[in-house]
Amino acid sequence: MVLRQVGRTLAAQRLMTLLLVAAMAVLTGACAFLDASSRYEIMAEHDQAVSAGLNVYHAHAAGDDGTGRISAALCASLNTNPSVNAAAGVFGSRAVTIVKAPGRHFSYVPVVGDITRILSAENASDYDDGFFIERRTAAEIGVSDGDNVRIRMDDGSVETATAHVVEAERGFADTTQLWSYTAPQGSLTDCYVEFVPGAMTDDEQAVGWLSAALDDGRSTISVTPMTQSDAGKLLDRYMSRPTRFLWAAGGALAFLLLFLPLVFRRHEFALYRSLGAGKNPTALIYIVANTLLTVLGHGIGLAWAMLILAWVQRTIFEPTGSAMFAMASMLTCVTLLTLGCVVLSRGSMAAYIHRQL
Amino acid sequence: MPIEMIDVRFRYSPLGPAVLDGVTLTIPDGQMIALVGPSGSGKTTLLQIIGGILKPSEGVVRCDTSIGRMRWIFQTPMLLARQTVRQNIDIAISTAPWNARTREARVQEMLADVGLDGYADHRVNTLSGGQQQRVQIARALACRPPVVLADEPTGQLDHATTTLVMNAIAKARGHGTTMVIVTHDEYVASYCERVVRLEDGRIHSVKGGDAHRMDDCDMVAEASDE
Repeated sequence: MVLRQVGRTLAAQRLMTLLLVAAMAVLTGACAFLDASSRYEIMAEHDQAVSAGLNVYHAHAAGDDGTGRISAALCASLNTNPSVNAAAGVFGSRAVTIVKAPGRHFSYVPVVGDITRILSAENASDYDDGFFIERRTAAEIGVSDGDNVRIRMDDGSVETATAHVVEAERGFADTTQLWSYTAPQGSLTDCYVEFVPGAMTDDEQAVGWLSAALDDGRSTISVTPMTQSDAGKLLDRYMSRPTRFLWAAGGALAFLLLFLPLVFRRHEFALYRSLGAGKNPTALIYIVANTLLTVLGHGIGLAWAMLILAWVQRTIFEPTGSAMFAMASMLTCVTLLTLGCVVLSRGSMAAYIHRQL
Repeated sequence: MPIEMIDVRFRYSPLGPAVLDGVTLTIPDGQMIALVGPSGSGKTTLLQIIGGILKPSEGVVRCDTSIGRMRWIFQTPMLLARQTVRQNIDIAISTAPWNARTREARVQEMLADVGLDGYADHRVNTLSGGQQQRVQIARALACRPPVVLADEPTGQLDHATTTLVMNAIAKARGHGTTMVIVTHDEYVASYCERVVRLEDGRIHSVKGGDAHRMDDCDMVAEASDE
C-alpha cells in the first residue's frame, strides 16, 4: 500500500514535484560547489607545497628560553656541500612595522645562507642588502621590487632598507616575514636545507645526514621534511575551513523546502488515518516519497556542481569528498524529514474530524 | 452488537450549557437512522460521541466498533483532489486483504452503485460537487465498514443531486452497515429506517424502526404526549 501511495502522491503533483527537485538541485548544488571549491583551493595549495617542499628539510633546536642552538656558521657552510642546493638559517625574529603600511605587523627575520632559494626554487637573487618580502604581501601594502622602505623596529628606531620581492611557496605561509641577511655568527633556531635531487635516497637518510652535519655536541636537533609541516598546516586549514558545516546547512535547507509544503498538506495525514491507515504507514508514505525527491535533488545538484567546478578549475577534482558531502546533506535532510512526518502522522485524527463537522 | 447510549450528557465546559441532556438511544446493527432537529439541538455532537471523537460528560456509550473502523462522510467531500476517483476509493480498501483484481472489482462495483461508471480515471478536482460527494460515499462504503457516520452529506447539494446521493447511499450500503446520518432535511430523513428528532439536547421523538422494540425515548415521548 505504501509504495502504491508513494507513486500516486508524486504523480498527482508532477509540476510541484519537478519544481521541488529543481530547487533542491540548485540549493544543494550551490552548497556542494562552495564546499568543493574551498577544498580544491586548499588541496591545490597542499599539492603545490608538497612538490615545492620536496628535498627540503627543516632543522630546529631552541633552548627553554627560545634562543637558538644551531651553529649559524655550520648552517651557512652547508651551501658549499655538493649534496646541498641551498641552506639558510633563521635567527629569532623582531616585531616591526612598515611606515607606509600602518596597522600591519611584520616579523623582521635575520637570516644566513641562501634564503631566497629556500623560499622558492624559482628565486634567483644575489642581493645581500635590504630585505626580502613575499610577493603577495608586497602587493598588498604597495611595495615594489627595489623600493626603499622605512621600517620601524621594536625599539622605536626607524631604518630604511631596499625591498626585494620574492616568491615564498615552500610552506612559509607566514607571509608577514621580512628576511634580511646577517653575518653567520651565533646560534640559530632553524636551519633549512634543500638537497640536490637524488643526493639522499629517502627521508631517513636525509634526516640523519642533516642531524649529523649540524650536531656540535651541544643540543638535540630535530629534523623534519618540509612537506610534513606543510601538510600539517594545510590539514589544520582543511579541518577549520568555513565551509565545513555546509553539508548540515544544505541538508536543513533541503528539509525545509520539502517539509513546508507538507505542513500545508497535513490534512492528508489525517485523511489517510480516517480511512483506516495506521500512523506509521501514513508517515512512511511521505517519508519514502520525499526521500526519493531528496536523493534525486542531491544527485542532480552534485552533478551540476562538479561540472561547473571542472569548467572553472579546468580539471576534474576528486569526487569522493563531494560525494561524502552530498551523503551527509542527504542524511541530514532525510533524518529531519522522518522526524517531521512522524510528528505530522501523530496529529489528532479526532481533531481533524471534529474540524470537518 | 448495537450501539447503545444510556443517559448521555455532554457539556463543552463544566459550567457551560448542556449540549446533550440525557440521551438514551439504541441503534441496532445494520440500521440506517437519521438524526434531525433544529440548529443547536445537539445532532452533530451526538454523532461525534457515537464516533468516539468526543467523550460524554456523563452517561455510557457502548459500541463494539473502534474509531479506526468507522467511516465518515462529511458535508464537504474530503478527497485527495489531484488523484483519480479510482485512487481515492482504492485508499480505503488498500488495507483489506484483497488482491489487485478484487480491489479493482470492488472499485468498479462501488462506482456503479453511486452512478459514476466510467469515471474511475477522472481526477477528482474535475468533478462536480455532487459527483465528488458520491465518490466520498463510495470510498466510505467500499471496505464494507460496520459503521458509517454522515454529517449533512447533502447539505450543499440541490434536490436532484440530493436524490442521486441518497439513492447511492441506499444502494451501496448493502446489509449489515449501520448508518447514522445527521441532517436537517426531512427528505433525506425519509430514506432512513428510523428518524430521531432532537431538540435542546434531548430526544424529542423517534419514528420508524422495529415496531416491537421501543427505546426509552419513545416511552418518554408517549408519556409526555399523555
